[in-house]
Amino acid sequence: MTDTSKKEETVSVKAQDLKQDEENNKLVKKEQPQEEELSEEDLKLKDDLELLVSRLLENDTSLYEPSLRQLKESIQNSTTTMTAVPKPLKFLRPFYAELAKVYDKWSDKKLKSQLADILSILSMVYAENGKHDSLRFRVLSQESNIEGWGHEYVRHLALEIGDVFNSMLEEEADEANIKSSFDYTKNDLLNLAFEIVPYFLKHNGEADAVDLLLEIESIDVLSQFVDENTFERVCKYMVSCVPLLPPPDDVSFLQTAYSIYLTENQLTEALSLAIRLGDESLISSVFDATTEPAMQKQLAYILSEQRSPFEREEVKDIIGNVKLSENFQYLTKELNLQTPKVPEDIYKSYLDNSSNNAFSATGLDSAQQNLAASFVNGYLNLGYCSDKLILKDDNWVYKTKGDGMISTVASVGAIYQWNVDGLQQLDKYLYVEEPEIKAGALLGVGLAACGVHDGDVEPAMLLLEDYITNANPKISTSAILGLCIAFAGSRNDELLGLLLPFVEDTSLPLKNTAVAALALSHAFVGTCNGDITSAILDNLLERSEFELNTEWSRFLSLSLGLLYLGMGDAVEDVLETIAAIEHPITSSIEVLVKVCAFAGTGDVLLLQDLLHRLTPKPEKKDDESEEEEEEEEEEEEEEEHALEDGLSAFAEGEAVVDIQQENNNEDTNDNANANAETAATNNNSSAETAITDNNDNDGDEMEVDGEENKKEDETTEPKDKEEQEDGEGDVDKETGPKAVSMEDELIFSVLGIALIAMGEDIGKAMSLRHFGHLMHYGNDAIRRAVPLAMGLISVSNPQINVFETLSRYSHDADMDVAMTSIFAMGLCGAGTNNARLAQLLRQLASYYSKDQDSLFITRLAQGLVHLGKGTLTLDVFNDAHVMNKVTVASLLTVLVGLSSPNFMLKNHYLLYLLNSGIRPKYIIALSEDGEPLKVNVRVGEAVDTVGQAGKPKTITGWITQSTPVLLNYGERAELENNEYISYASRIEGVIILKKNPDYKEE
Amino acid sequence: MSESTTLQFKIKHAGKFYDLKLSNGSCFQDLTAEVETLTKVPSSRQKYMVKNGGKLTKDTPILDIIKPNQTIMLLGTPDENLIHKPIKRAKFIEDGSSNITFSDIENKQPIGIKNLGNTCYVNSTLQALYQIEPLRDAVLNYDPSPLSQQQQQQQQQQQQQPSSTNNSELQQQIILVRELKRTFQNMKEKKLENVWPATLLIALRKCYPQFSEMDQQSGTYKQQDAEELFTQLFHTLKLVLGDEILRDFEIEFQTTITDKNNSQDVMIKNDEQDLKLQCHINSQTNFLKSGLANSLHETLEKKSSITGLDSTFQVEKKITKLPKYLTIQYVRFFWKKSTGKKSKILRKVSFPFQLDVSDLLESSYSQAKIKIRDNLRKIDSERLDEERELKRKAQKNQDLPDTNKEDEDADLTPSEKEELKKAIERSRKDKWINKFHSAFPDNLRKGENPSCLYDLIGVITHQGANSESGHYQSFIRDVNDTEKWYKFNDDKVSVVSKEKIESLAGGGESDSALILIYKGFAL
Repeated sequence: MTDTSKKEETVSVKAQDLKQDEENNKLVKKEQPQEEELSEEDLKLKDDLELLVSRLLENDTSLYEPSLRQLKESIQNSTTTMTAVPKPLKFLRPFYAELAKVYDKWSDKKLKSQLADILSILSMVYAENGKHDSLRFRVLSQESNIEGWGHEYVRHLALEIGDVFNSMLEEEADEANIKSSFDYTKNDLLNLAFEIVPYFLKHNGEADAVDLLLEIESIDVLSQFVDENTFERVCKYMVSCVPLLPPPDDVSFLQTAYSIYLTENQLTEALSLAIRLGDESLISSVFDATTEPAMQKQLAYILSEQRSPFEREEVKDIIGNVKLSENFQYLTKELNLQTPKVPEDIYKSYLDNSSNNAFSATGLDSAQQNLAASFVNGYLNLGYCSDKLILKDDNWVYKTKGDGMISTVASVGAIYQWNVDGLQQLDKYLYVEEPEIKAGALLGVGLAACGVHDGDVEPAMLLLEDYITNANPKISTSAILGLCIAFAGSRNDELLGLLLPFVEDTSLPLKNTAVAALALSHAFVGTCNGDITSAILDNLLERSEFELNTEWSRFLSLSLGLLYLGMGDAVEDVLETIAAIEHPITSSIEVLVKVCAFAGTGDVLLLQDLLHRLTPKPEKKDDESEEEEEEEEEEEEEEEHALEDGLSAFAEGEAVVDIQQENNNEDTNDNANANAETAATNNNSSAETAITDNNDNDGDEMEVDGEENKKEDETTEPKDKEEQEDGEGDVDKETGPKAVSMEDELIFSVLGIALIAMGEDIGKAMSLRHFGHLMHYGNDAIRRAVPLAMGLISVSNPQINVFETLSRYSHDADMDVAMTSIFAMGLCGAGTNNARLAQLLRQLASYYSKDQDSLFITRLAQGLVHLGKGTLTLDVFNDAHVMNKVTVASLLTVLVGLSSPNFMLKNHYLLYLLNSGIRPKYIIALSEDGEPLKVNVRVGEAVDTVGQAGKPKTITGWITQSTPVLLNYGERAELENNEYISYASRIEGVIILKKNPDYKEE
Repeated sequence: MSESTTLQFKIKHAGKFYDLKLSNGSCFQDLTAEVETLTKVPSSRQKYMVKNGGKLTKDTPILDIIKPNQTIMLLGTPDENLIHKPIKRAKFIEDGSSNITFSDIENKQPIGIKNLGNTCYVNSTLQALYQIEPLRDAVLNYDPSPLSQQQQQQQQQQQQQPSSTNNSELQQQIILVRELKRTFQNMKEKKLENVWPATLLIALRKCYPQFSEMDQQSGTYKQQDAEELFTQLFHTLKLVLGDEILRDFEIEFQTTITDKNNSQDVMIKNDEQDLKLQCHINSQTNFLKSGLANSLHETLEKKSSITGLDSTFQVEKKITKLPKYLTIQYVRFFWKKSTGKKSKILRKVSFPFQLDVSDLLESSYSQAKIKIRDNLRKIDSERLDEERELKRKAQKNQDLPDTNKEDEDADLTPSEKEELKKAIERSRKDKWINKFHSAFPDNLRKGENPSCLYDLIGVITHQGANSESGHYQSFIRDVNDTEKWYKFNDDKVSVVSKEKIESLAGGGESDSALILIYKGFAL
């Protein structure tokens, strides 16, 4: 035996000894009752309690009441720490069961009630789980003062109420079970809850209060309980809960918060919620709640930012954005930005030798690059009403050609955006013979009048309505697009009357219909307008598959989606109608409409569904939609499992099988082999490449499939093969439309992920991760859409990791992917002047200096980054987290177009649809008379303070500046001191201030 | 009275307001006539932004249109503001009608060479060689047709080493040069997007079988050492084109061998030549210069011919002739027994853009060179001053856009402007070249660098851990612009900044320099 083992033995022996000691100790403890360890005080308490309990157990009724009272007192008076059970409760433990029995024996109601009171608190500690005794005794007791028992008890009750309420609901739903298993009713619960809620609210437990009311489905009563001290915290908590709630709870939360704000006279907050709810009557009751003109103006400014169609005579100028241009000019003047910039100022091509020489060497102009310059000039000087390129040089337009002239002339409108003075500038272009220039002028008219409606006369309508039936398609489409931009969000009935015939008419070319539908859907975004819906649907159905096989059909589907933007469940009817139609395009429409309806909700279930669609299907099917099959046909269980494996793997960030690889698994192998054979006979070098290709494929599959799937593949191989052949045959017969629709479905799904997730921060972060996987394993269509989705989700928010990733994709071998990535980089930085992004884009411009198309897109992205010289934004949400539907619509339209970049390069004038979503990112302070004020505000990074104790700072790392100031993504502002009082609760956009009468200078 | 019979209102047009008075009975026609005189907008082009503005006719009563004291917006363009088409139609690249096409633009940039499976070592070497002017010209001017000359050479060869195998070997060498010429021609003409060196490779592999080593697993050719190829190609060129070609590259040394134990035993040799300098890397080497100095000081152990004993000898080399083109090889690869591969020393050894080798020269030679160097530097600083001055002037012109000057230039088309600019540049360049040449000594030997200064013009880099794997690329300076470098990654050519070149000094598995090509200063 070695030394070490000896030691071990001794050690173990010692350990045994120790154990025995312990056991002995325990025994000793048991033998000698605890009295020895108890202090005298405790001992007395214990004896007292035992005496009281024994009295209750006896038959002397006269003693009951005093004993109960004493018991209660001793329990209530006991102090306790967080971890230990209060002493009286501890000592009463042995008697709990007996006392519960005693309760049943007694008959005196009053006494019973008192006993129940005590039993309720005791059962919090001793009752078995799931019996909810605490709650039962509480309901049985009539004693009123629940608070006396303390916070922990009340929380416990709240928990049990929630549980019981849910099981009651389940019982109700189960019709067979007529008799309730509870000896109290729902009303009892509700009454109890209504007692508890005020208690919570009084004690900073607003989260508990809201949660309890949510559990018992009576959130709407909350407004009765809050007062001026508590409402703010309550409402903040409720509003921040919204993205996490399933419908219809989210709406009822918003409504309750709205009514609380309204009763507490927090009108601007109430208005934000009213806009989120999208209910005009709510908006108008906010306006009705005040007679102060300044407040009305403030509300109007908030509405105007959303391009709201709301009408109110006193402030229609403001809602109609008539002052927008003036305010923006004031901002640019104060920030000293009024000197116009030219594209070269941001190209900075002198920093880069190669691209500089590339074109100048030939001595020729590139029409496409001049067009890019026009776009960039339009972006740079957007809304400034002055520039150096086109306004003074009437012949600049002739430096572009063909359709390029449309966009070039329209850029005049962009420079004059929000200002009807621009119409005069454009007028002269209407007398030129080239139809493109005329068309451009019409589009420009729409841009100049974008979102500006002063009520009586609509200049854009007056000018454009004559042209929408023009024989030249370029002129008519441009006129309609002009209307689309000018009237985005306006819900103008005249426009509806004007354009609806176009949408209904199936004899028109698809392009005209699509453009008209787009115009109407932008104007009626998120209204569920039935006329337009049915017109679009009818039109879609009448079209032949051949006609639908163009990119324009996407816009028709998109129009439908935009009508239901953010409308949530209201979309169900339409989805049913669509589902009933047998048409190849339906599945893509379904996706698009659904994601639009739930845009910004962060709905996890829907996200999962979309990811599901993006995972490869093991085989192609003939008729019915995929989902139905999955549920119905049992025989496919095997494949289904494979699919689900893939899905779960996807969710875990593992791997996704490339749809095409899966589908054409053997196909590619065969091809590769064939390649190798032929190549071998030809020459060595190409054989090498073929072999490496083959190897690559194999490698990918290995990585992707994993071992399990591979085995499965082997076993199901023969079956798969047959089916695959079938599937392929079908595809051949059916030709294009279905494939196009499939592709669209994928593209819309990818965009949809971004669209839904963008309302919620965690979802955003997670979706970015998913995009990485999709980029790895997705097919071409998915890969094209992913950068766009990344751009959409971080629009005007240049996070380094996002644009660095996009910058990597911008060198992709697939030029389409590269182009969408470049554009997405522009979106990310839209209006930020982000130096790092600008640098990356300059490098890209030099990298693609020889590729006209990529260079064009790069220029656009550069222009976007410097949008309005960094004073504008495309951000979808504001500080109050209201989703700007017009902005979403404009972004979505351009992104859907860009999902086939070459289409967009040809129809570049569609890019102007982006302009309707652009707004200044300023804070401008006005006095009650509407004069600009200069006050100091602190601008810093916004901090989430929901549910935090005390009065935490809402911003961090701030800088104090004097208004007007710029407010970037994720920033928030507050007034520096209380010299002025703001009418708006959030310092954002145009705010109206009044002097604080109590202000004293320090 | 007047209020009831006349209508007062305002018209806003192009930012100006006009007060108007019309009698109540007048109609639209009167309005347009009145406005035409005020604003000079013809009545047909007047557009009034009022309700039903599109449906107004001549006879519409004015009261239907306008309310008293209303301000009405009028759109319309007076004749003088109408747009006139430019007489000259702009020409665009996209038109394609002009002789100048996109390919011309691309001609500005050198083209790449396709990788045909682990042939990046060939590509990078070819790009580097192509960049050496005398060598390129010699290859391009090589005319294989006069058989007599070849035969002469062959005969000479045969006389030296009379064997038939040698003859066929030379034949192979000639084929290789011919292929090289063809490749260079392709690179010069840039007709294709990139060059396919397939036939060149075949010739090369026939000529030097070591390059046709196959990888057993993949069945492809193996990656090779670019430096070896570099040396072999020089060898070929020497054989085929004669010794003349290597003049510009030959370095001559004076070698001093000293016995450490017996300081009297000194042997001086003057006949050593080499085509490149080596930079030995040990654990103290941080700079190119120290590595070069190391390689010129060696120790040997051999039997002393005087004492007959084994002794350590100090071998010291001094350069007695500097070539026009100096090739420096980083000795990064060494045979590692444990892996059985040529492993790579990853150490960072930084190299200068301008190399001064005065301290590696034989002392009297060095003094002469330093003198010339100082003269040249003086001229160079004058040149830089002038350039700076010009730049400042250009900057000023940009800041103050001189309208007169623009008008002068306006007559010229962009291409003419460009040519004018180029001509000015060229004349300026010639002036300085002449100035430099005047400072050269008269007694220069053929292919000798007048000074001891060198400018870096090319770098061949290797990425990876050993010579048989990884990736070779070359970085070549632009002929005209010393700040601009091209990166040749097989068929992909891109422009990189000077800073990027600095980062090629090594220190990791990323691209690190293997061969540096320096060109004599001011040549």
